[in-house]
Amino acid sequence: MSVKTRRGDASYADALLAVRDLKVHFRVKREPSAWAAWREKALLRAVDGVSFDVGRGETVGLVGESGCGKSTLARAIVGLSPVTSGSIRWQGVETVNDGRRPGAAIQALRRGVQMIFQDPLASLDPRMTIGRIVAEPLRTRRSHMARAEVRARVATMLERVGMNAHYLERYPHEFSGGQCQRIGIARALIAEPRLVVCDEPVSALDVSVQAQVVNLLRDLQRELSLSMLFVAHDLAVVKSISHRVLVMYLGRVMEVGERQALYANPRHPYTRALLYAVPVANPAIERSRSRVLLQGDLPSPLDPPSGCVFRTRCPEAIDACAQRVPPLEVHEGQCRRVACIRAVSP
Amino acid sequence: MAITTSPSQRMRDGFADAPKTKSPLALAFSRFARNRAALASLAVLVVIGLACYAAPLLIGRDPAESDWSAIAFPPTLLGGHWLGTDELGRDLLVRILVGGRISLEIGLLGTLVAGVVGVTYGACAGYFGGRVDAVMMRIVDMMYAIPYMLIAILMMTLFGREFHLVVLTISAFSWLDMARVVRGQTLSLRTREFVDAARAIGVTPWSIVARHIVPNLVGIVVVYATVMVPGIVLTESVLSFLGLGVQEPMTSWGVLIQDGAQKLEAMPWLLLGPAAMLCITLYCVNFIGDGLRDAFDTKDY
Amino acid sequence: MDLLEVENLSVRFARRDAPAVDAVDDISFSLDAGRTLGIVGESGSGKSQTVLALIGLMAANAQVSGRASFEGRDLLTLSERALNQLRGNRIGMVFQDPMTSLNPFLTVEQQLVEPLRLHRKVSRREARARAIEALERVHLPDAARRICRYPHEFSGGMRQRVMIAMALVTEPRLLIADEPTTALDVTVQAQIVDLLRELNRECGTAMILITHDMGVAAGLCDEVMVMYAGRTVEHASALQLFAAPTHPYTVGLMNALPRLDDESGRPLAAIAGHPPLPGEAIEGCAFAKRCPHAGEPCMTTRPVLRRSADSEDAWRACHLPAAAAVGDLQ
Repeated sequence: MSVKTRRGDASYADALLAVRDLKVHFRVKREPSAWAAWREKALLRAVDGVSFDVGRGETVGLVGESGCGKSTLARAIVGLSPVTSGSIRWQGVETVNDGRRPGAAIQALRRGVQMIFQDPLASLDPRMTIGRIVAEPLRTRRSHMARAEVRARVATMLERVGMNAHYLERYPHEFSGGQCQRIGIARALIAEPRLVVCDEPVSALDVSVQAQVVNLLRDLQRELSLSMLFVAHDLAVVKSISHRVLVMYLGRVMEVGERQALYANPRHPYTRALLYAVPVANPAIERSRSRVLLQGDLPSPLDPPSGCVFRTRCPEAIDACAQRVPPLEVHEGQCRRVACIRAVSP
Repeated sequence: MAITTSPSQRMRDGFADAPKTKSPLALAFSRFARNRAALASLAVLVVIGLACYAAPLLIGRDPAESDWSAIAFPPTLLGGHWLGTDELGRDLLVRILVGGRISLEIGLLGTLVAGVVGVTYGACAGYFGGRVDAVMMRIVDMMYAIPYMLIAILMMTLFGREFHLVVLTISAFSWLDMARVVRGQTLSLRTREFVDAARAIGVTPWSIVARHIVPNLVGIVVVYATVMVPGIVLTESVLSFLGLGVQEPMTSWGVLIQDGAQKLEAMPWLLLGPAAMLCITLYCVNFIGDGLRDAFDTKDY
Repeated sequence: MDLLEVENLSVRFARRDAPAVDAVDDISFSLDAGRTLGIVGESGSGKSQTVLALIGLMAANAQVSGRASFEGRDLLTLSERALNQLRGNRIGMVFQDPMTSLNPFLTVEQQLVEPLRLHRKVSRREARARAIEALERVHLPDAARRICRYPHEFSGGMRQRVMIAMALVTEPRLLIADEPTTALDVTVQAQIVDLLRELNRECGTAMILITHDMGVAAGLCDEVMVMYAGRTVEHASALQLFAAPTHPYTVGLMNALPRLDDESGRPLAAIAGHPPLPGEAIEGCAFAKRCPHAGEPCMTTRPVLRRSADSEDAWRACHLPAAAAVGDLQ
């Protein structure tokens, strides 16, 4: 994979997708009882001010643990989750207007951005043949296309993702997880999008099948010059496919950087703890260290800590961390940005 | 079959030799076919249906025709009146079969109308949610509160007892249950990932309802429809019992039962015949409904 | 001394108008007291079914055969009553999903006290004290006060600790953990793995850990058994298995794992094809269709699990010599 130096900020005019200060907040009931409907509702800050860019032909990996908001962010970009505030520009055109997604803008975005989902079987309509499933984007976008041509394109696409074109008439329940995911990929790519948002596409698959699908995505990205936003919780998988990586925690970005540099030298304490916690398939190394750098549990997203949200678990936290939200600042050259006042300087 | 390291190589899977399996619908029906009670009931129902339409022609007797030589005869194998006659000499068997046509037609037509209205209404309410759903469901709640019989009597008195009007009156309230059930199912379908996938593609909400939601409702709709049929047939019978059902010269099981109930002491066979037919038919529909419910119930997908 | 000795365990599920599924096909292994065994495999390998058969939690249509002797008694022939006396008492079990394994209607105290009251003759106060002690042993903060809370008031990692405490409160000789870390975040996973390791060291509880995560197995287990399509393909000490796996499937699995320390940017080495479908008839070695070194005997004869030539405690089921597979390791 060629690695180009990229900037992560708004001045990079070529960015396909530019997200600025995106916020997705949900109003939820504090107590589960139904009669508390008129009680004060709490605010769940799923995504709390995220900014990043995705350039042409680049894969941006989005990692974080549960509750960090990465899935909500991915869904918000494609229009499946409501946006509270912020900006999402697709090819220079703003698609968010005061929290709403105007019809024309969102249609334009959906023409260029497609999504691959986590549960391969659940993302396919069980009552449709896979031919119809894969053809659906064509039928929706280019309804005037002749049926024969649609069929031909579907067959070509299926072959391209490694499925036999004879399977057009079969139903999703006849296929394994890996094959269903290939069908999902075929569906996402058939209308020739520029950017594919992958929401944990391999988490539900076995290791050996995972490798097949990751390789497939890499190959297709190269062939079709696709950009990808790859959301996952598995750091090793993200490393194998991304050019740049974003680390999220409780709705905020902790660190952004070029893949190799970030994994080799994480600057944010959370990134460091995350990388350190990943188990390595080597008993000699595993047994000899205690991998626990973080104690305790994730704070509730309904009540995030003031200032830096990570400070309650951070081994480097000081009093100043509670005072203000640390901005995502440029660190050691344009490629790396860290949101930490204690980030270790090189 | 090597372990792949080359980036340009594709993974091929070896499913070409796997036997082609059926669509979810076909699978459900093959499961249904294994349920003997359901299958037998289906057969009986088909026989009844055929009998109602074909048999009177074979017997060659008119239901309104009076056989003056055989007035008020109890059931007998001789003389050709197998189930007896009424006080006007009309053959009961033929009347039951011809009446069966009306009852079955009302049952099926009523279910069809109520089903279509209920599915559309419930799917829209469930999918669009929010205020639309709230308003639509309040309308349903209000309709539930209206005393059905009063409306039925009002409509029949004002507009007469023409066949299609009877169907309409019955369907007018039967769709409520279907709407509720469909709405519930839609609410759960709406959260499934394939609906998200369709939204992400940019499919319009109406297309999603038509293409994704409704086909996935088939299971529950079919099962509920079989529950509705007996209800509708019974409602028609009740209306007829009250004298508000179909008009002469048409007859239905309800009319016959009403007639028979009035003359129970003198000619008990006039009640037993149509009542038995009604019971058998409703039992069969019931078993079929159970069979369908079991057939669609498995979590294969 | 063998705490648990399993011989020729097989579990078969009969299906209506479909061939029977051999979920577990002739598995044999033994476990010494105080040792940890990891059973590694992908979905469909039969690893969960193996332990479910041991403790008698199979589905009704399962046909179990073989022998599984625990402390001298054959688990597979015990009556339900006798099994009940062992379960939760001498054999503890931790399941995968802490969200659904705990009863949402009972407090943590009630659930912890239940096995104690059932298997030990202790007063309620004594049971409560022991329950609090168990929670402290799994490092649940503020145990005395939180013991009367309900499961939904705890986070995922905490719930898993509660599950482990429940399993250990009766001081079992054997703890079976079925994918205990799969549903958890990686930082919480690290905590739980550390906890299990500590408990094994301090209390001497033998453990069987089922996982598909090789890294977790590396960190926790003394021995590792790799399963594929219901069969054992390799069984060796963890150090040996990870340093020099000798079965092509194990090698393929290790190669397919994306690694943090991989700087080359190469594509992942995937294993071609897919595992056998449930109920599919397998002739010869189950892995033969996907194996890069498959030869004539592999397609026709099932390889027997044999002791490795160079080591006492390693077994493999393969027709090829060990050297053939080791060479593929990246």
